[in-house]
Amino acid sequence: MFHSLFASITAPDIAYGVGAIFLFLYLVLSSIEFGAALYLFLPEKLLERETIRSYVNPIWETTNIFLIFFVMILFTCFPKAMPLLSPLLFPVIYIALVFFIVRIIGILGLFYGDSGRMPWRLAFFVGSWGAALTLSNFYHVMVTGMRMPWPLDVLSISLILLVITTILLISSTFFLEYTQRKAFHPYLARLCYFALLVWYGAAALYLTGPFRTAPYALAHLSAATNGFIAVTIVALSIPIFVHFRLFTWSFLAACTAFGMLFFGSVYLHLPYLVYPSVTVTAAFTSVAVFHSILISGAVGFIFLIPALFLLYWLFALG
Amino acid sequence: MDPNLHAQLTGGRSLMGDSLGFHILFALLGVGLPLLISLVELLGILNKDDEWYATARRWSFAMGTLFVVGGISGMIISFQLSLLWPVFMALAGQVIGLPFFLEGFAFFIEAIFLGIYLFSWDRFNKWVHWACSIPLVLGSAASAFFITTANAFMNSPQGFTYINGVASDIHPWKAMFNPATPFETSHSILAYYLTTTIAVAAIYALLLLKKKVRADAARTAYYKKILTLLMLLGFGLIVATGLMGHESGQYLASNEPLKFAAAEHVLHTESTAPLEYGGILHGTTIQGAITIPFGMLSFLAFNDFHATVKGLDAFDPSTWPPLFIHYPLDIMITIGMFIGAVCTAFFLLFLARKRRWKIGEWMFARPLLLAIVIAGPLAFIAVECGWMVTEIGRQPYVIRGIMTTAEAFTTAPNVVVVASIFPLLYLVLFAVTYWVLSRHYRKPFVMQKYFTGVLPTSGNPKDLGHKLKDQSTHT
Repeated sequence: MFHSLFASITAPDIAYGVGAIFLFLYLVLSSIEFGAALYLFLPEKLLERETIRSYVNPIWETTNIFLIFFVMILFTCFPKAMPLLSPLLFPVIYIALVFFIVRIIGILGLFYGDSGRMPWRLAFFVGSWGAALTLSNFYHVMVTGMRMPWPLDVLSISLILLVITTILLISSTFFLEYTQRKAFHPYLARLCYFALLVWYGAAALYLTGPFRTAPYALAHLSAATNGFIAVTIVALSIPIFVHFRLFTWSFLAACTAFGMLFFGSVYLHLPYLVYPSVTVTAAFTSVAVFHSILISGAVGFIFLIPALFLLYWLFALG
Repeated sequence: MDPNLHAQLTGGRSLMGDSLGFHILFALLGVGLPLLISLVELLGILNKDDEWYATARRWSFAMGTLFVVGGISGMIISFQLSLLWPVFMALAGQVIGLPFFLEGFAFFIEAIFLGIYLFSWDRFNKWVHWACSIPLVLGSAASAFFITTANAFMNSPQGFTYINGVASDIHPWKAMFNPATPFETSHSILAYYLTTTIAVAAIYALLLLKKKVRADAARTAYYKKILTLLMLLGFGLIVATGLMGHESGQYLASNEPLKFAAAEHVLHTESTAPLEYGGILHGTTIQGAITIPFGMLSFLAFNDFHATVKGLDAFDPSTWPPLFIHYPLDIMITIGMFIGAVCTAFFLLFLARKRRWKIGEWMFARPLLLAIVIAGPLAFIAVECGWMVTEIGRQPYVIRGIMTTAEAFTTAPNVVVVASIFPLLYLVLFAVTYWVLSRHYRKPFVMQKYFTGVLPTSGNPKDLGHKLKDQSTHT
């Protein structure tokens, strides 16, 4: 089975998969930061701002690079999709960029200007969550070939709910784990349970959404159903881990559940990059450029992975 | 062209120009500061001099802050390339995708080691900490190198065949290492190092002009030590940058003669061509320019006073770039000469001081310090002007001779609206960055948090209040 699976993998599939991995890493890491932007509004006695600052400050810039890498892979490996994709994404990305600038203004004031005042926290929060919600539109474009409609359709609602609850789920389990050496935060646990409940609904809507808007996905219905059952089982373990204060496991379970949903959707979306007009093969770059990217990427990662490890090791030291 | 489309295209051009203009200010500091900081830290370790070491630590905060802004403005440009010029990216991705990807890698390395460098001052020993600055220096330079090769490709495309909108026979390495690459990359990266050095020197020169500082012998000596290092480095860099600038000019004359003719305002093809400096454009003619005769332009372009320089009349007028690029070229060269004069004067006075000649005392005289202060912002203007010549001088093409800017443009509406919003956002971001840096370097309580190095104080060292006040004004 594996032999036939690997034999059918093409160069566009590899590029598509690597891009998806970078996007997933960005979504997980940025979810923690976007959650942190919300938790900065909590009273100091519930969660110290210094704790959040000590997490976000050293590594947030690296988080952004995962997004830049995803964008670079999209642009350099699938350039032929740009004439179609660009006008569709134009307002979405520009609005997201405005939010990113607002977010950076908040970060500068909070973490570099050393000021915890409300305007900076507000800028960090509005910028972070605004960017996240706006970028959910990106997936809508990929799946339907259209921007989010108004009034919102089922897929749009499920995407927005998923963004909100995934941020809450991943960040709450992460900060439970991150702060456990100091104290247990029951409100974070409650937030985690609540987020999980809504997340289930959103995930179900999300998995059925594409079938209404993207008829191609019907072919994958059984795979999607099996996937949803698997996601449900993994996600169910989150509250159990939280209850028994196995926070590292609860965070990993949250990432796994989201990862299954994410990679499942990425897989089901194949062979399209933008439904229904562009397939990954049609949008793919020249073989010569792909080979050069592949070789330089393989060499680059030999340096990159130890460096990332060193950074996160330093960060883990606190 | 349809007026609406023309307005959209103008909006797109101005948006891209604003974004690049804003980004380059922070990008060049992101390239230059790691080198300066690494050098100063190394001096501190080798000489066991805490002043150098503390200085490196103080500068690193600015590096971190500026990197934040450079990171977001770089991200905006990476998105903007596809959003505004999707047809260009559809072709560029197939041919010149490699340096874009490698630039991402270099930036990643830079970001990782910036985090490691900034947060490991008290965790690693000094040598290990300094070693962490090496990938930062290399990563930032590599990042600038790769992205400039992509720009060089736009000026001097090669490594593919383009027929009826289809690219074939693609050689990505050949496209990357095109004829413009060595000139553009070396000239721009050297200019970034020079600008950063002069900008930091300008801050110290400004401090030395302050009466309060001049009354404080210890602090004055400390500032003079740093300023001397920076200006000597600046002297070496202006010589290298000037030489590479000259080489780039000769490359343009041979390989991009239309851009050269427009920038130097050569209307007619002629041998023994004079150099036109300054003046005001009236249509295609120029008035009030200083003309340097005897084939000066021919000599500068081809090392031969009688060489023939191609004029604008040798090209189809529809392919001419805007002729106003003559102004930014002259501004860049004038500023370069001014900085060269200031650095040379400082270097000569430094030599005189070494030989204990009396004139050496003028090394820190007010007029020279004032000139260094003025040179700081002027250096940024020179870099902006250099990029204006490169980018506007390529118009109407986005890839010279292959694809026009209009052909590459998006069909998305509302470009003009976005183009009017983003400059305002950049201004706000700039103001906040300035606020953060000035707050950090002025307020003692903020400094205490990050800075624990030794600084010279003129008063009683046990007087904490005095020491804090002292630290607050050290930059």
